[in-house]
Parts: sequence; structure tokens; C-alpha cells
Amino acid sequence: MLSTLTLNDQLALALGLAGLLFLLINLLLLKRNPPKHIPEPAKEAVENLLHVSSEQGKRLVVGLGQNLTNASFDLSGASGLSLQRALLKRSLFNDHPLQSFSGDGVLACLSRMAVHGAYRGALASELFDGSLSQLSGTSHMAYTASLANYIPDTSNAGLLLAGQMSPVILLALDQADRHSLPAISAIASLSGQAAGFFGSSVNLMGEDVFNAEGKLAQRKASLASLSAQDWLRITISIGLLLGAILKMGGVLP
Amino acid sequence: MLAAMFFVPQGGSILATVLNWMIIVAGVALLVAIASLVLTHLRFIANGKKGFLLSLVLVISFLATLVFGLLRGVDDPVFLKWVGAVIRPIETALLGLVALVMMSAALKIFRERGWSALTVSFGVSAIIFLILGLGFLQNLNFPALNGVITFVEGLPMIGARGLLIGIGIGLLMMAFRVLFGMEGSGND
Repeated sequence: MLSTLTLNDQLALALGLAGLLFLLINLLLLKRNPPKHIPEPAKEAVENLLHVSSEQGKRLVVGLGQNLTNASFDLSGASGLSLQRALLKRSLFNDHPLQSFSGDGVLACLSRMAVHGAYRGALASELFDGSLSQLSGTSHMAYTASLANYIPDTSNAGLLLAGQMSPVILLALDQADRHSLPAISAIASLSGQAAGFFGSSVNLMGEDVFNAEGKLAQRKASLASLSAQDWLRITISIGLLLGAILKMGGVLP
Repeated sequence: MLAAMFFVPQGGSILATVLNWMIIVAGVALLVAIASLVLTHLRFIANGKKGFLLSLVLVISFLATLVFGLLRGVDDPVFLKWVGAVIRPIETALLGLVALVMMSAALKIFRERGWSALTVSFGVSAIIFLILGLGFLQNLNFPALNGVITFVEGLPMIGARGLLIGIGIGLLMMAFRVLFGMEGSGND
């Protein structure tokens, strides 16, 4: 049956299995050794935002993106959810709790569940407010316009963009820049990552987009997957080098 | 599902069925999210919250679109023309704004981030690719120069592949966390 797969499929399957194996090994290793503190500029930036938010009693605005099921199913669109949950746990009892905006129906429902779950977990269900997790426009333009409209509010402490977004998100970053609002972008698309360089925002690239929550929440599963990612990266690098050598040697067609 | 995705000929029918389920669930989720949005804004209006006029505009325009859509049908040319006449000028204006903001961003990057390796390489590569984009150098037909141009034009693809591999690794790990329930649900 495997012979019916293309070379790319076989490589993807091998990488997937290797990733799973590395994750399981790292989970077992973490059981024996307590997790270490991982210094990380992005984590520091997010923690600074949280600090400002709680000290000044201001709100952190999180843009979760607008593509989980909108155009096609794209799991990277949900990358902001875990970050939202990690941040929310630290700002539940602030004067202004974290406010999130989603541009996708499924994402908005999941985000609302995460917010409700965080309050219920803290035995404070009565503080839950549905408006803390809102649906905004379901197209690139409408989502960006909706988010940009919310940024000038004087009770905002910072802007965090995490999820799948188009480069049009520049408009929101520009708005944040004009109102001296610190911004962090963890956008899971190449064009979005390019837009993240706008102004003075902290921009996360590549796999760092998915790592911020792990480094912030220090959960066992997230830390194990961070180590597994490193192992996978090394494996891919060695594989690419070997492939290049074999190709140059004429062994590979 | 994973197996069905790899072995499409054998698992194609399963994929199609599950895809249909997903479309239904996504549609229902969107309805729930819209209902929640409208209720939230109705609450803002009832409480007279700051900026409630914008909530009023949202609710009125939503109801008008809903009623018009239900009466005439979503494929009705008049309905589409009416909605398009509102949305298109706004989106075009926003796109124009994006062009201006991108231009100012290119200039602001040096002021905001200073002269670092990143900003200098950004500026140099922008100039190089602008020149290459003109097509003047390609028309000179120097074989040695064409080789250099082909090499330079391939560089962004190499960088993009590196980033995509990184995104792929991160996504794979996230998928495993979701698949094995390690990501945590909303109720954790």
C-alpha cells in the first residue's frame, strides 16, 4: 500500500512518525526531570505586555485571525487559542480582562469556550462576559477594519496578533503604532509574518509562532513539544544536508 | 482520517463525508457566533455603553441585510448589487489605504528599528528586487549576468522554504497536542 504513495507523501509520513516519537520520548523525559525556565525574547515581550496591563489596569487586545474554516480548514488558524488561554489565566481578575476578536465562526466559538473555561477553572463563572470574546468581520478586510476600530480605545494596554491573518493586518499594526500601543505579532502565514515587521512591533517567525504559549505557560505537553520540535529540526537539517550531498554525488536523480 | 488523507483512492468517500460534516458544523458555529455578536451589541445598546451608536449601526445593518436576504434570496441580483454597493467601495478604500501604509512602513522601518542588519538587508533587497522587476538587466542578455540574476531571484524562495519548514514543524506538534488532547479544551 505504501508503494502507492508519492515520495513527498512518504517523507511527510516519516516526518510525522518521527515527530510523534520525539514527542513521546520528550514527555517521558519530562516526567523524570522538572521543566527548565526557557528565556525567550517573545515570552519576555508578552510578559511585559501582561505586566503593563495589570499594573495600569488596562486591557490586552488579542486578534485571533480570520481563517480556521473560512476558506479551507487550516489548523494554524487556531494557534492563537492556546496563547489566549495562557494569557487569560493571568488576567482574569484585572480591571479590564483580555479581549479577543476572531474572524471565523468556529474560532469565535472555540475562543468563547476557552474564556468560559478559564473563568470556570478559577471558580469565577459569574465574572464571565460573552463580549470578552467577539466575532468580528469574516473577511480579511472586515476583520482588519473591525480590529483597527477597537485599537484607539484608551483603556487598551497592548495588541497581540496570533493566528492566520493576511498582510492587510498592516492597518491594525499601523493603528497601534499611531496610538503608541505595544504590539506583538505571531502570524502563521508568510505574508502575515512579513507584515509583522511594521513599526516597532515584536514579530515572531517560523515555528516561534507556535512556541510562545509553551514558553509562557510552561505546561508539560507544550514543553515536551518544544523539545520534540528541536529534535525534528535537527533531523530535517541532517536530512537536507544528506539529500544535497547525495544529489551532488549523483546518487539521487 | 489521517490514513484516509494519505490513501485517497481507498479513503476518498470517508473524506468527502467528513468534509460535509465539517461544513455543517462550521456553518452552525458561524450562526452561533453571529447570534452571540448581535446579542452582545444589543446588550451594549440597552446599557448605553460608550460607543453604543456603532452597536446600533451594526444591529440595524445586520437586520436590514438579514430581512432583505430572506425576502429576495441570497442569489438575487438586486440583493447582491445592494450589498456589493456598500462593501466594495469600503474594501477598495481600505486597499488603497494598505498601499499607502505599506509605503510609509518601508520608510518608517529605519526610524523605528534603526540601522540594523535586518533593516539594511531589507532596504538593499527591496532595491535589488525593484531593479530586477524592471526587467532591464534581463534584456541585456549577458549569460554570466543571467546566471547571477537567476541565483538572486531564487534566494527569497530559499528563505520562504526555511520559514515554511519551521511553520510546518510547529503545526505538526500543535496537531499532535490537539489530537491527543494535550492542548487542553476550553474547560480545563
